[in-house]
Amino acid sequence: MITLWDFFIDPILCWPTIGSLFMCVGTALIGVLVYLQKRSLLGESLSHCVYPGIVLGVLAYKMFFSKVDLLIPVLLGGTATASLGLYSINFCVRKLKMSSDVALCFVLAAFFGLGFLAVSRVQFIYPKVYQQVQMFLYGQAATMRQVHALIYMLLCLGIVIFIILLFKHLQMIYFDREFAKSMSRSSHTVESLVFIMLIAAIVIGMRTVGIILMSGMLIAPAVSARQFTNKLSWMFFLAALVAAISAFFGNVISYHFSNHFSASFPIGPVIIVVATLIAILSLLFSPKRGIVFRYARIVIFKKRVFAENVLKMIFKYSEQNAMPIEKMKKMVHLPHWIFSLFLFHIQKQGWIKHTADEQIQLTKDGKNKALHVIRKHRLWETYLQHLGMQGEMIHANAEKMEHMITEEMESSLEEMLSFPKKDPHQKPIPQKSKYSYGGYELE
Amino acid sequence: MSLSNPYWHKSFFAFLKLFLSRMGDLASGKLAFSELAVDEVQLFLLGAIGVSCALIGTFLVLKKQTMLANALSHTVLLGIVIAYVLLGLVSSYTFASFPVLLLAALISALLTVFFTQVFTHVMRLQEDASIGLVFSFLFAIGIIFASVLTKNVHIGIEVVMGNVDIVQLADLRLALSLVGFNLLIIALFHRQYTLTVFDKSLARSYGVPVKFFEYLMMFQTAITVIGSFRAVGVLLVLAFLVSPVVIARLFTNKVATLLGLSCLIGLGISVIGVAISRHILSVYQLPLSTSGVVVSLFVVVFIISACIHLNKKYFYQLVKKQKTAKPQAELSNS
Repeated sequence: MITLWDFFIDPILCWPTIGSLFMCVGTALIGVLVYLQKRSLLGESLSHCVYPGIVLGVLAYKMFFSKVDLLIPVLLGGTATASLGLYSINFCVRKLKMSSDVALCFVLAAFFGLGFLAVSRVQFIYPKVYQQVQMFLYGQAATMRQVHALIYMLLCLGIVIFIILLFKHLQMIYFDREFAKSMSRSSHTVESLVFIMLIAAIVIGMRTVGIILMSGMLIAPAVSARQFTNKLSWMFFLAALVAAISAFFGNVISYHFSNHFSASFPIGPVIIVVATLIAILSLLFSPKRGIVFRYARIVIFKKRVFAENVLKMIFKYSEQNAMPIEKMKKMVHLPHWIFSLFLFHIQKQGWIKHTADEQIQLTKDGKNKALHVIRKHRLWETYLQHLGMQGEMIHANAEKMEHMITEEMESSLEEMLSFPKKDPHQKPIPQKSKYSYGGYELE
Repeated sequence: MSLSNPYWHKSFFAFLKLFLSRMGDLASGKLAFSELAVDEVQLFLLGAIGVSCALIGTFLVLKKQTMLANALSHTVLLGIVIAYVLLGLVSSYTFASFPVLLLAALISALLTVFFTQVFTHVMRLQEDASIGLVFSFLFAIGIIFASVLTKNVHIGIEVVMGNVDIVQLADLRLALSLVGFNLLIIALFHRQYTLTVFDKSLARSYGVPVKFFEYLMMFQTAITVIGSFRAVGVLLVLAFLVSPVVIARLFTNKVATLLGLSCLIGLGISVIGVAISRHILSVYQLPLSTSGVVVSLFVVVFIISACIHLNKKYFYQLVKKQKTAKPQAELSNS
């Protein structure tokens, strides 16, 4: 049985693991910048532009050396064609007035087509090399050796140093656009540096996740990191962490599944699946921006508003602060079973009680609660009148605001209006009780 | 299919000449449909793909949704794999069977568009980030499935790269029926498509169900991609979808002209591309991928057209400058 630690020390497993770890981290760091620039699909386009570079690089390399090593052709050739691709995209958008979406897609397809033409030549003269080149489509992490891991580590280090050195500038560009505009020349330089780093990151990540899945590696960690923080430094850190986790577990899962099912689970795609799952989980469950908690907050707020309205309704219905259940069911637009559940809930809060004759009566706490809401409502109406507004508008607005006014707002409103006793409709405003703490009474 | 290839050792013009004469034979009934040579099948196939891709590609380019089409062309892999599993056809390796294709197109179009919409609107992600996230995820799953089911990654490579040099008559029939399908839909709905592309709210006020046509467009794209991937691969389909339209767009501003011109360009370049590929093989003994040659030809034609377009602009500017410069000079004189 192989433990998790073995993935770092086993002579066969360690280099792919370490190598893909560094690659994913390097790619994810640049992915953060591209994501913040809202140009996530640029990575997709440029990674396809690398393909002809790899093929031509291999062909050129073959002319001078008999042995084939893919490292140098990929690094040099890939960088060259990716830069050309970037230039072509900008040219199409600026000079030919293409929309950026179409330009991205066209350049992607065109470069890939050119690579395709070149690779058919490679297939014919060097069938073995062809197999290796094709593996770049989906990545080829499993065959990585010590040399590769070291080189990719250095490149990743380069990206980290770049980010540390330019951190102030980057922060300024992405989070303080107005200030950055005033220093347009230097921010322009930094932005083009980011594009160069993007190309570097793509070329680095190529071997692990491959051409086609590259954009996933750029986007997924950045998306997950953005869910948890607003700070650039934390975003870099979290994205790197997500990338490292997905690279490591991608390797682990791929190894174990391949053994268990005796079928090949390619490392690159597994890494992408892990990274995307992390991104989806953070989109769902991150505390501030996550969709689950966002909806939960909305539901809780709506429930509170509904409860306050129901208490108010019972309070106003009769002198005894009691109301028949059947009558209430007719007033609210809810299915009966949900309403019963809701009544049970506020009964547990201690705001209402059932009486013998099928009525709902407010408890002391419930009455206080209702009075408090009415107090906030009438205070707000008074305030609106103070502002010079009149008519039905006042009431409709107060219906909403009565649920939102906080304790502090309430007391400063009261102070500002010099402790009013009557609202614009000449109805009494409930006052804080002198006899019981936290209670309210109508005078 | 005849075993002896009449196009053996033919150069560019000889190829076209022989092709035309053989087409005459085909029209007059001297040559049966099943006796077509490999080159002719290839030529018709690429031509058909060129036309159907240009038809739907026009609207994709105008709607600025080509990257969504790019996503779709990737997720098609997952659609195909799922369709195979569902229909229990893993063993019999027939790509051209129609129900499989239809199912795969439906699955991949729905999955891609649905997930992208969910990420963009419900989870409030940037649109292009959600496109990138969705397609790389679905494609990764597709590759894992494919490599587990077939025990190697090469099915994936075949899907991505395609191979026009192993096509059969069945593929041609499929491609031709796709052209028919696309022509029918565009002929029926081109007004609604145009409205949907340019002005959604106007379309709604005319009572056009915009959502329905958006999904129809995506479905049409998916089925066109699926019908073509065996010949050209999912990535080169993109070139067929975008390049003719991009080239035609340099010369016209009208939708109808754009549609016709891009179809012509798609068809013409496919035919010339096959002839050039044959010419290179016959004269220089260089076997190159036919679809690669066609796409490269697209690139060359695009570069030439872009040069013409840019220079035309310069020319107009020069003429304008002279016209506007003259009255000013007169004013200053007087």
